[in-house]
Amino acid sequence: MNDKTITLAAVTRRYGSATVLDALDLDLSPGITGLLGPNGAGKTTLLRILATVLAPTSGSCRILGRNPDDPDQRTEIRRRLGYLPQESGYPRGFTAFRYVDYVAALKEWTERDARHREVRRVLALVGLADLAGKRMRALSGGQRRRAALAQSLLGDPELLVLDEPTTGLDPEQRASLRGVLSAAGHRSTVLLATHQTDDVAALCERVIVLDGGRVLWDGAVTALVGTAAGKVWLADVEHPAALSSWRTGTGRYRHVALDPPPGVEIAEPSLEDAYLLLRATAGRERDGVTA
Amino acid sequence: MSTDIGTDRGWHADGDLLAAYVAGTTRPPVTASVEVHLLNCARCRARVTPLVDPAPLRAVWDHVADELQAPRPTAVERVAGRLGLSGRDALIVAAAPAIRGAWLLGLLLCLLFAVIGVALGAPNGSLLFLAVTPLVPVAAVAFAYGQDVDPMWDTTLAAPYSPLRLLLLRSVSVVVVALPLALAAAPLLPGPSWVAVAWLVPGLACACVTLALATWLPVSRAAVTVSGCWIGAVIVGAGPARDVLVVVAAPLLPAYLIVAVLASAVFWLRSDKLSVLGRNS
Repeated sequence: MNDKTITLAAVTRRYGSATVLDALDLDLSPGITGLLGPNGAGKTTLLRILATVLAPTSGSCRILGRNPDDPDQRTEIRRRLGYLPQESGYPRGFTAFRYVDYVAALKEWTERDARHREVRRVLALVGLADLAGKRMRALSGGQRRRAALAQSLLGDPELLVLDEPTTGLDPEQRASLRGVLSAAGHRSTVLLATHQTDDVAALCERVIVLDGGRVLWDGAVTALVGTAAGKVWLADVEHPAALSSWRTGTGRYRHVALDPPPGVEIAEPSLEDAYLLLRATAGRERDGVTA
Repeated sequence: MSTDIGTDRGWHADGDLLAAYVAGTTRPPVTASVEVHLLNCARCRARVTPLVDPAPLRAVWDHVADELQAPRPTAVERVAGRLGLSGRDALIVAAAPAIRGAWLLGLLLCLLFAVIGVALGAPNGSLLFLAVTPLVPVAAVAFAYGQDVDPMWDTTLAAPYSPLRLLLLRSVSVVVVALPLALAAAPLLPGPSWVAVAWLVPGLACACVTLALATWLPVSRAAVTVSGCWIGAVIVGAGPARDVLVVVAAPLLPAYLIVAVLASAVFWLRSDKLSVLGRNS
């Protein structure tokens, strides 16, 4: 059975002379996939292409079995899509309810009562039921982010494209949103771009790491964490050659390095450690090529 | 069917009694007794729940929640509704940045200056008026959509609502607000009476060219380009003699109409470019 909901083949996006996505091949299936990468890696551009907002310069996309180049098929994709942009503005003076109601109107919820019921449902999902009547500009950054997330959840979309949904949220809010997102991941294809490696570790089975518009890693989260096994260690003194090292609360130094010195006390790696190592390895290979 | 309601905690209403209570067929004293019992007995409350049709209750709750949370339609929405737009379209027009923001105010102020110029008989009043008023529809298009003016443009594009419809609805709504002011002032212009409405024709042409150009350029640049060309044409056309009515001379009007029709056709053919960013070539 072909359960691929998204297939990208050789997708390239250029802005002027800058290549932001470089001949990207990618398949996505139902479930939550994490998308990691440094700023400028092409995450937002990839998400905008998947949300049918931005056209690739070249390459082909198939989203939910449809071709986004065709106007009618694109509309069909948009009917099944929830998208949280990285920076979501809002009309001045709108309340949270009105903001989500407006997006619901754009999403073809024509019947007023049904639309309002759906707006209340998604606002409750993100924990904003009690703040629905408050103006967006009076909400905190985290509350505004949750309202923006609420609009993406309207109608339980088949494809959910989320660009840094947990930015500005406190730990409780992030934990409660993980519940919402994992429930969505059971029904839909969810692509979650983030800088929070712990969100990816908690939610995703698969992780894609982008760097310079190319896929640096695509595989199971556990496999990526496994690449850091034996490369994270604890010591009483700081090791100067480590990729990253910091003094932990216990007073000891935690180090991450490609080549740990022999005889050190190896620690359990995290996804963040593995991500740092992956980037460092890629950087070393790049330098090796150019040298 | 038992109608004997005991007060001791060992007694519970049977299924028939609860069904009759929910159906509203019990006698008033029995109804009152069941209600008192239900207030004190979680077990019977749990048994009565599946017997109640939730739909009417949900409707009541929805109504209460709507009263508390859903905003009243704004003045713009009400007017748009009176003009025949559906509630959904009215909401979408009312959310237009041009309707809500400072843009409309700025546009109306520009228009007001031009009108005052004409009304006071300023030497270049007519020039100013004819340079500014046909650009009202251009400004309406420029303020209707796009990343420059709509903070939610990415979200809007990712929704299935037609961007073409959105653009036209919003443009027309700005024109509808601004037009009466321009039309009211136009009779003050010197020259024959038809001049008072003749400027609408180049206005239409300018708006259509802006729409067509916006399928290649960002809409703000398209609007600035068209505005610059029009103002240049007015100044050059008026010449040193300041005969500003040259730009709305009768022989030119059919030419404006042809431009409008051609530009509309180009826009129509290329309108899908508005639906996705980065496809302007």
